Amino acid sequence: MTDTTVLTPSRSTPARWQDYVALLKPRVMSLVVFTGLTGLVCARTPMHPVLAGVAILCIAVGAGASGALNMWYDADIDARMRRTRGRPVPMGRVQGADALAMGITLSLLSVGMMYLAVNTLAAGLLAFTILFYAVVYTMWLKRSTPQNIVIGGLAGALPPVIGWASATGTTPLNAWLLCAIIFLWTPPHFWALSLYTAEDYAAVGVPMMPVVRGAASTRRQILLYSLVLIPVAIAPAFTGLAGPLYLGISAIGGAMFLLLAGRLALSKAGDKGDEREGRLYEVRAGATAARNLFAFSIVYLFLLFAGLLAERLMGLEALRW
Amino acid sequence: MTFNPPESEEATKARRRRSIAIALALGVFVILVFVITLVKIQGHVADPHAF
Repeated sequence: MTDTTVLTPSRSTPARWQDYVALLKPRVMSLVVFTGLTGLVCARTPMHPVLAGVAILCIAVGAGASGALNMWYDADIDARMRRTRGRPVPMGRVQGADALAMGITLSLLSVGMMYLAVNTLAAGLLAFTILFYAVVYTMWLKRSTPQNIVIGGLAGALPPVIGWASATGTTPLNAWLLCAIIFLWTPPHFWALSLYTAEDYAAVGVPMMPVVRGAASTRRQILLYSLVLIPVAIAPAFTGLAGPLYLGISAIGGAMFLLLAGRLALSKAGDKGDEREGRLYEVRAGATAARNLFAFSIVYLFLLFAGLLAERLMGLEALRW
Repeated sequence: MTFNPPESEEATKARRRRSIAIALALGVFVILVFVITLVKIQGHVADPHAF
């Protein structure tokens, strides 16, 4: 018996409402809500609080719909990966058709509501994001190219632009700068994770970078992306979008990010994965550099957007030069 | 003629909880649409040029 044994779906286990919530990928949804809210607030355009709330709700529901569609389509490989085999569809608690129906229904509802309550541009961007994640990333890129999470990362990077468009009906360069930060952050973040979960991806034929190009190449590319990410993440301090607080966070956080990416580049992380059952996040000594960067990348992105939000909400704009 | 085995008590409870969750979600949706309508109408009344 191997690590990738398919669990036999237990049809006797009835679906709980929590299983349908799990289909929406709540953790991803929380990040999307946070970055979307930051985009909306950074637009500095007065918006009725109810409509602002509806915009964020639509972004959240749209992200959830994408998650449900992803779980419907990927049920076959989810069932054979340690990280995902406990999901409702591979476990047999929710039927694939139900996940598909839920994904389509919530997609239509979120886009329709965004169009009626907010504006056409925000609704169009939301529809594009859902389609890009569900069709371009999930159905096409994920199983066909090691650049899957690079290009597919655009879907996760768009929420601040949608938030900005919700408030203003426009998408200026500063909105796309927020998008660029998340877009460039995605490869180091996911490749660090995939360095110590590569066996799972290899077993199901998903061409993640460490599987196709090897760990050493992945570690080098993580460092290269980090070198591009850090200056782009600092840029808002010089484009009128952010002030000294953000500059401090992005500079110190960026230095830490680069240090961890450098350590990872010099490490042996991913050269030999951990094949022990049930030890997904307990990596061997050589792979701790990958885990450290993965963990810090989450904190880093959170701090960047929290810094932007804090400057706007606490009136720290007065500190701007 | 098909034979449907009786549903277990656990399955019945789970189905009931799912139904309640759907009912609550629908209720929230209806209230939300109502509030959005009020906000939109208010905005148009305040700004007649919006028509």
